[in-house]
Amino acid sequence: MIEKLMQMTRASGCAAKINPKDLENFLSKIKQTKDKRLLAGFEHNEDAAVYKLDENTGIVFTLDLITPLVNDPYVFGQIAATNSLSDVFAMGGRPLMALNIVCFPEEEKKYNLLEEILRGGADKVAEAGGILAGGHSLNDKEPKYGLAVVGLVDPKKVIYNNTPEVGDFLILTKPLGVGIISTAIKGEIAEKRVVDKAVFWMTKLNKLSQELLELNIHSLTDVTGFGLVGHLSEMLLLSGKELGAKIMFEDIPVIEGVYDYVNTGMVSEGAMKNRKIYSCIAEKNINLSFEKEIVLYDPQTSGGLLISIDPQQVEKAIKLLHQEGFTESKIIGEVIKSKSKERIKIC
Amino acid sequence: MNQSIDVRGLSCPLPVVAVRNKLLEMKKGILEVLVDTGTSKDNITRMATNTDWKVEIKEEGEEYLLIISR
Repeated sequence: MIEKLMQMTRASGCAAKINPKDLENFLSKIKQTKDKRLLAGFEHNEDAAVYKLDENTGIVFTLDLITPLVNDPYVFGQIAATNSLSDVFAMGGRPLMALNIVCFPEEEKKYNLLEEILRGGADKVAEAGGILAGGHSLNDKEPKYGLAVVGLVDPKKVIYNNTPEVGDFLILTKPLGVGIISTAIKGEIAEKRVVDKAVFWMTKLNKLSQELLELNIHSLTDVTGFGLVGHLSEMLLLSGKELGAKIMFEDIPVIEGVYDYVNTGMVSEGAMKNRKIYSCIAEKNINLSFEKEIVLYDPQTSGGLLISIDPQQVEKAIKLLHQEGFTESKIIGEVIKSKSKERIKIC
Repeated sequence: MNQSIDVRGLSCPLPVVAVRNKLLEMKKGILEVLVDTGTSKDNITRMATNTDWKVEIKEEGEEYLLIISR
């Protein structure tokens, strides 16, 4: 029974996103409401919307929905919920309550799968300190699950995705490669130890301690469907400043075993799309073989946080991150001044 | 006689899995593969060359014919 979940789906997880260029095109045609209380909305592809209620209170609001990327329904529920909650954390907020959004094929009557998915989600909402307060379901051929989440944030402490500063260090808090691994799961060639690693990271909440959030973090986002280069390029290009980044490939954490799966052909359509769109922004200063390069474009589901932080506080941040269980957190590069078309230098 | 397999219409990674299974069974010879996405073409080519098969690619409109041999 469990085996079925991945067979019921086409693209997995965040690899099922709509092409970012197409998205940009049609979103630009939708009327956007300007309001001084809306601190984050459409304009720079923020992780979540933020609405200022008063000087000290802001609401963070987000919705995310994904297709299965593992076969175990309880684990899938956990991953989807962790992924949805992440957008609240990526704004510097805390989840208050969540609603389920679920699509499931009614004909198949496999409600035990659905029950497990929802149980996984509920457990993660509780772990995140939020309340699951209801939801909405749809009869659909392909299963999908996620949450709409409302959180709280101090409007003065919102951390945006496009406000890095020259000289900042860049930290990535989880290893890359979960997109390739979920393709390998679907292809039924993934080994248990590799899957366990991917599941461990995809179910780890991106919740940072207050102590970490009080550090001088200039910009913050989570790495999801557009891959590391995609999300980093948003951080730089949408800043409206002449900013670039130098990233050190060998310092980027990658789940062990991922390169073998690339060589076996387990690259998702999403990774190839991301590479096509974003590779013109990245300049390769080292010889990168395909299996290494593609990891930089691999769509991550419930991926890690990309933190742009004052270099004075980077050591403390890494120490705290490791204490908080982000044991593969690494400094992967720094923010530089750049006008070049190739804003990201891979060294 | 050449063997052939049509993986058009299958979603990733099913095309590469189907071709991989076929090649494992054949061990040597020629396999013609009909593919309809660039990603599947690249994935199959990478998997095959990494397992010591030779790949020749013919572009036919929106589709590709891969001739895989060993």
